[in-house]
Amino acid sequence: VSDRREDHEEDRLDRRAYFAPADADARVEASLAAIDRRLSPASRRRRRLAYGGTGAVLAAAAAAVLSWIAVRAPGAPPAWAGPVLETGVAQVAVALADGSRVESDAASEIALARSASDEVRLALRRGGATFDVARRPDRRFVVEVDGVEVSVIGTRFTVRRISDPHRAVEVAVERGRVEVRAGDEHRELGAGQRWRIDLEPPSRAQLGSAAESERAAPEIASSAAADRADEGADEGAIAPAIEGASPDRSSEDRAAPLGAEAPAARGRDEAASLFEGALAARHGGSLRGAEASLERLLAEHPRDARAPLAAFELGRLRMDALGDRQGAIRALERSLAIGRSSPFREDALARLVALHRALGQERACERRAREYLTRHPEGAHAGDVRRGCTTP
Amino acid sequence: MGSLASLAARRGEGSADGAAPDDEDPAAIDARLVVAARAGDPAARDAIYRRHARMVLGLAHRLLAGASEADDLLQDVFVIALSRLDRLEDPRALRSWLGGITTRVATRRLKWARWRTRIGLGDAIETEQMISPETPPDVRAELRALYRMVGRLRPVVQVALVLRRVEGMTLPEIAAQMDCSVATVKRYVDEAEVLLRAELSRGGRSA
Repeated sequence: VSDRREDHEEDRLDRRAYFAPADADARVEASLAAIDRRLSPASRRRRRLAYGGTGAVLAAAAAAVLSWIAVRAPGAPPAWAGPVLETGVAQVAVALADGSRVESDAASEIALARSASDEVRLALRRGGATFDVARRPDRRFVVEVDGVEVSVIGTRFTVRRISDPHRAVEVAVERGRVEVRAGDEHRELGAGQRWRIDLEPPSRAQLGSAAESERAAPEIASSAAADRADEGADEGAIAPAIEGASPDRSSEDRAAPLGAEAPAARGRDEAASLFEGALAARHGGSLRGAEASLERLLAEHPRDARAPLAAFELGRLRMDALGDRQGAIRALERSLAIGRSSPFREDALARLVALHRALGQERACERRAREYLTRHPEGAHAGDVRRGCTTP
Repeated sequence: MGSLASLAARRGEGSADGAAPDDEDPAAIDARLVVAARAGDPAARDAIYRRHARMVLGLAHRLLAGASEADDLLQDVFVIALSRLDRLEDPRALRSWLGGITTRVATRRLKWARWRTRIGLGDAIETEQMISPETPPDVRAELRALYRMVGRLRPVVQVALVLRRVEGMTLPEIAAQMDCSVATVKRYVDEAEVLLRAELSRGGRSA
């Protein structure tokens, strides 16, 4: 085997050295501790609890959208994994690969916008968090919130996004110094200093319309039409982009006849607005409003590129926050039907297994478990799926 | 476990990718480490990581077009691999097994990234500065064109192209890494090569 490999390597068009990661040694070292933590038995228990726990735990957890859920634990915090950390009723502490630590308040959402050797950039979308930043002179650590940037090299500070009675951002420094930029304003804060930046008052219109639509939301439209839309989106994605058109064109644009650009664009805008309205409603605490916006998006824009994700999000919302298991099953089934090549199929299947198991629906659970293990024998949820379909 | 400890101690002496010195059969060392790690030896697990982490990070970096998620992917790959070592049928094939896990997890992440882009949440990545200054001009032009296409290609096609044109793998090797047939890989690569040529002809070869 090794001889064949060595022979082959002489012939390779090997360009690896020309596109190699910077600071590989440091990054490899930085990840080792995080891997150890994630492999520890306590960490595995925490993740199992977060993903497959009882309804009460799920309702309390109010899980992360595209991320792994971490539950605060004694001792070393778990490693940050995934692009977004979202907390429910509990505080959560996580460790970043560079050794920094984020202690998120309850009901907060933080996105990891960039994690590189020269910069770590987080976006605080909701709530607040305290950041204990490992000192590394060659790396900037930046927290963005509503246009305000807080950047440091090594320190401990807290950032809070305030929405009531007026939108504002508050920065408090416990140790070291931070630099805060808000538009043209720029200020340095030292240990013990605090700065509150008042922003525009929030608009409640979007939340109101989302809440109103809850009662009027029609049920979901034909999955076959959306299925075709999903296939079309995949097949057509490269062609217009290579010709220099916008890479974000949705299947609705391509399906529209000549001269129908305006209605197509309007539909896309409406779908985008509904999706963003759902996120805003959820962040504002209106879970039913978020549910209604997602239902409307699916009913009124089944061919939109966001539809499969909207169905998945609807299932996740019902399962994790609303305690509506049957509704979650319907939404996740819908997500599978319209998003045949979507990246969250694996997650949707795993969630269906967990839902059918919790409801004592053994045959449905076994069917979905077989499908999951056939498609994803090495998948992230394979261990949980292999637990079987007996009601706990 | 003395021999394993010495292997772990020698971990810095290999190649840039963490391979063993020339006088050792790397596959045989991998096999011994896998057997020991399965028996619960933490030094063996540590040695496996240190021998192959750079390879995994490099592959992740190139598959994800330099995205910062490469570090997350490195962690994901070793969390999966070290918790499933018992499923590795041929312990001598550890390196390619890790490469396969990396490829599959990266493909999954690219699919997510594509969805995020479609709904307006995607992040632009500036790859030009990631190309080494030592790169010959023709190779630079090709890498620049290839990574300009990132995000517009289907994720599986993008992965196949990078494995072929950057990693320099053969079609059977790519098929093994992507867990699909050689015919499928050939289709992906052919599709990508046509687009790559078009991209190069549209200015990729200009400075």
